[in-house]
Amino acid sequence: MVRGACTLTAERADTDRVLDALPGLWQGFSATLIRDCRLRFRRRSELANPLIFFALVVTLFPLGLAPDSTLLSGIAPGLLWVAALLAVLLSLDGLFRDDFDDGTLEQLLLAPQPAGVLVLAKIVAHWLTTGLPLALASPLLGIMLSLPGHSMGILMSTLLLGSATLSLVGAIGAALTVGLRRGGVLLSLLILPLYTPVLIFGAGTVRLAVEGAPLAPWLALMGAMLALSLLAAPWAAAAALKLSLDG
Amino acid sequence: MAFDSLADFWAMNGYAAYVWPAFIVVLGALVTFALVSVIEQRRLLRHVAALERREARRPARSTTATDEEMS
Amino acid sequence: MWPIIHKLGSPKWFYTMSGRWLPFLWGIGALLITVGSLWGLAFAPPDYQQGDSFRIIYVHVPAAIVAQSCFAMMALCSLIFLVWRIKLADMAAGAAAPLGAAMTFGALFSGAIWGVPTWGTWWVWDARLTSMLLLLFIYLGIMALRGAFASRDGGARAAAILTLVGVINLPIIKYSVVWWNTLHQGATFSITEKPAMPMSMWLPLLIMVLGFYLLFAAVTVARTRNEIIRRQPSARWVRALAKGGRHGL
Repeated sequence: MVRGACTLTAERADTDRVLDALPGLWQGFSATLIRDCRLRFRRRSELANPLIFFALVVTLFPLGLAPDSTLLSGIAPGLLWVAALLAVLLSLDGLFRDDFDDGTLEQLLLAPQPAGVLVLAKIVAHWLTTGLPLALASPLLGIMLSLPGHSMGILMSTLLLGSATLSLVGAIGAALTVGLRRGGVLLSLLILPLYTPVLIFGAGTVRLAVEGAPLAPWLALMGAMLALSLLAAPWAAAAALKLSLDG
Repeated sequence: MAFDSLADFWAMNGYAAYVWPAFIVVLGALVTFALVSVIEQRRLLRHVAALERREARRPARSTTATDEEMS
Repeated sequence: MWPIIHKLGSPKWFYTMSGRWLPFLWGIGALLITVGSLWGLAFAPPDYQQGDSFRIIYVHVPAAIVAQSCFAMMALCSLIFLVWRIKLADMAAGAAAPLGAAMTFGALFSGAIWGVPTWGTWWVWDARLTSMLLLLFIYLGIMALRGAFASRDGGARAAAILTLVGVINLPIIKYSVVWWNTLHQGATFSITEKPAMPMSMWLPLLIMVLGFYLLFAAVTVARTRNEIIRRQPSARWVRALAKGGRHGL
C-alpha cells in the first residue's frame, strides 16, 4: 500500500516535471495566435479581400434597386449584415486550408495543449483579420446607404459581437470540409443555416436602433450566442479537424 | 360521412386542387421510401447470393477476413 | 449495461431482432395511415372557417412532427456513434436522414399548398414555415457532407458532428425566427392557434401521427438493415441469409 503510494507520487512528480518543461496553455494559445496573425499580415492583399468584397456587395445593391435614400436606409441594416456575413463566409475556407495542406495542422493537433485552445487561437486570429475590420469599416458603408447616424455605434457593436460568433460557428464548417477537394460550396450549405440566428438578431438589433427602441436585451442575447459558441465551437472544430486529418 | 356523394368527395367542395396534391406528395413520399427499401433489400440479398456463388467456384480466396470489423 | 449496449450494437443481433418486429411495423403503420386518411378525408367534419381545405392538416402536421422527431433521433444516434463508436448508430442516422428530409419537404409543400386557400398566397414568412425551411437545408447539408467524404468513417463522423451542432442550433434558430417574425409582421398567421379541435377532427389526426411514426420507424429499420448488408456482404451470417432466401420482410 505504502509502496504503491510512493510509486504513485513518484510518477506524479515525473509527469509534473514533464509538464513543467512544456509550454503552458496560455503560451500555446498566444504562440498560435501570434503566428497566425503574422502569417495573415504577411499576405496583405488577402487581408483586404473580405473588406473589398463587403464594399462591393454593398455597392451592388443601390445599383440593383434604386438610388433612393429612404429605400436604402430602410434596408441598410439587413443589407450591411448580409454583406458582412457573406464576406466572413468567403474567408472561412482559408481558415485551416493552408495549415492543412502543409501539414502544420497535424503538428498543431499533436501538441500537448488541448486542441480546442489552439483552434480557438486560430479562430481569434481569423476574427481579428476579418470580423474586426469589417465591423470597423461598416459605419462608412452605413453612411453611403444613408443609415441614420445615431445607429452607427449599434451597427458596429452588433457586427463586433456577431462576427465573432460567425467566425466561431464557421470554424466548425471549415474544419469539416478542409479535407475535401471542393469544400467551398459545401461549406456555405453547411454554415448558412446555422448563421441565421446571428443574422436575425444582428440586423434586427440595428433596425431597432434606427427606430430608437431599447436594445440592451438584444445585445445581451447576441452576447449569449457568442458565449455559447465560444464554449462549444472550438471543441467541435477540433474534433472535426481530427477527423479531416484521419480521412 | 362528411360528403353526400363520391363526386362530392373528389371535389372536396372546391378544395380538390389543394387537398389531393398535398396528400399525394406526402403519402407518396412515404410509400416510395417503403417500396424502395423493400426492393433494395431483395436486390442486395440477390447480389450477396451471386457473390457467394461466384466465390464458391473459386474456393481458395476467402473474403471473410477482409470484412470490415463491426462493433 | 455494457453487454446490452454491445448486443444492441451488433448488426447481426439487430438484423435478427428487427426482422421479427418489422412486419408488425409495416402492417400496423400502413393500417393506421389508411384508416386515418379515410377518416380524415371523408368522415371528419369540415372546418367551419376553412371548409374542406383544412383536411391538409392530416398530412401536414404528421409530416412536420416526424421531420422534427427524426432529427432528434439522428442526434441521439450521432451522440452514441461518437461516444461509443457503435457503427449501427451511424447506420441508423444515415438511414433516417433522407426520409427526414423528405418529410420536411412534405410539410413545407403541404403547408405552401394550404397557404393558398387560407392566406391567399403560396408562401408567407411565417415562423414555422421558415424554421422548417432551415431544417430542410440542415438535412440537405448533413446528407451532402456524408456523401462528400471518400472514406465511409470520415463521412460518418463528419455527419455526426454536424448533426450535433445542428441540434444545438435548432432551438436557437426556431426562437430567433419567432422573434424575427413578431418584429416584422404585426399579426402573425398561425396555423396551430385554432379553437380547440373537436374529437371527431382530433382523433384521425392522432391516428395519422401514430401511423407516420410507425412507418417512419419501419422505413428507418429497413434502410438500416440494407446498410448492414451493404457494408458487410461477406459476413458468414449474411451469406447464410442470402442462401436461405429468408428475406424476412
